[in-house]
Amino acid sequence: MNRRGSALIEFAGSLIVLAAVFVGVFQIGYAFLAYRTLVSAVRAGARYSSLQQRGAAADPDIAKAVRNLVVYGDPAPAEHAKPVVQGLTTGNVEIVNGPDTSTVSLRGFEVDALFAKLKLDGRPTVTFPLTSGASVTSGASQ
Amino acid sequence: MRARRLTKLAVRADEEIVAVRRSRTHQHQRGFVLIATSIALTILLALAALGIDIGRMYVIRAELQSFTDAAALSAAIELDGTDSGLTNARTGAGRLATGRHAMQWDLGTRPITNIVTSFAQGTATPDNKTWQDQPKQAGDYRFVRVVATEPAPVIFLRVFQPLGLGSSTVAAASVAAKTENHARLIR
Repeated sequence: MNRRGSALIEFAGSLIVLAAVFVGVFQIGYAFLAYRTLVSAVRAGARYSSLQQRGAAADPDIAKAVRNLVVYGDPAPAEHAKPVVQGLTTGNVEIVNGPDTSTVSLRGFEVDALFAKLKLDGRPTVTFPLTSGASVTSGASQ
Repeated sequence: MRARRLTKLAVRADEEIVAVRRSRTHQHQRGFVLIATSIALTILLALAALGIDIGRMYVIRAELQSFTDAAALSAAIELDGTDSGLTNARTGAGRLATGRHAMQWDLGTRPITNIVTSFAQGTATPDNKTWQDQPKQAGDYRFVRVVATEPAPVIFLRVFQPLGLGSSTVAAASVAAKTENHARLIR
């Protein structure tokens, strides 16, 4: 009886350790998976934005399409589309249009990994050069 | 008579064996949880290695791939058949790794530093024999390849590595072509 009891306590103790390790691995793994998804989403948004006609990226419709592409994977998403990562909204997508570049990054988003949160402010960031229209070096030469 | 004594002896011996066995099994039981836990922990840590270290490497590769895609385009735009075009292309490749909107690696925390740019000639596709990091003459270089390489830190996989390494190389490459006024990714 005594022995059986101590075995039970040992088992309970080791279960706590194993559960803690399992939860930790799950959290970190999920955070990585989510981040990888976000990198691809942000890259797609930046590429889409960079392929627009020069100057058109500032157009609110285009900006909206870019935000939708990042969040839902589609510039014109269906009514009840799900974000690529849970909790991501179009408000988290920041678009910065330089003279020769389009930058998309995330602002104020938190990846909710069950027991811990990964704060993402300014990352991931992807910048693509504008590749359509006149050459970048000088507008005059072309 | 004799046979009965023998059976008695045999019974006693049996009892002793059982007693010894019993005490042994009890000793086993005491250490069993510890052994089972350490085996489970070893397996769990191996899975952690897979989930954490390799997961991190995949994140880093995605980041480097985004960077090389953009960098290759950025370099290709600058190509114009002149020497300065090649120089501009080389700076163009690195430009996106610095500044306020720099792309970074390791969950966006470290600057990308190891960037190799090479150039090739060709018409529709790059002629693989002409890849050069430092072309002697400007010539008709229309293709740019950007390779970014970074050492991904590993924690659990270190067990399987030579001593003192602690990292695993992750690389990404992209090729872009210059056409008239455009640049496009071809690989």
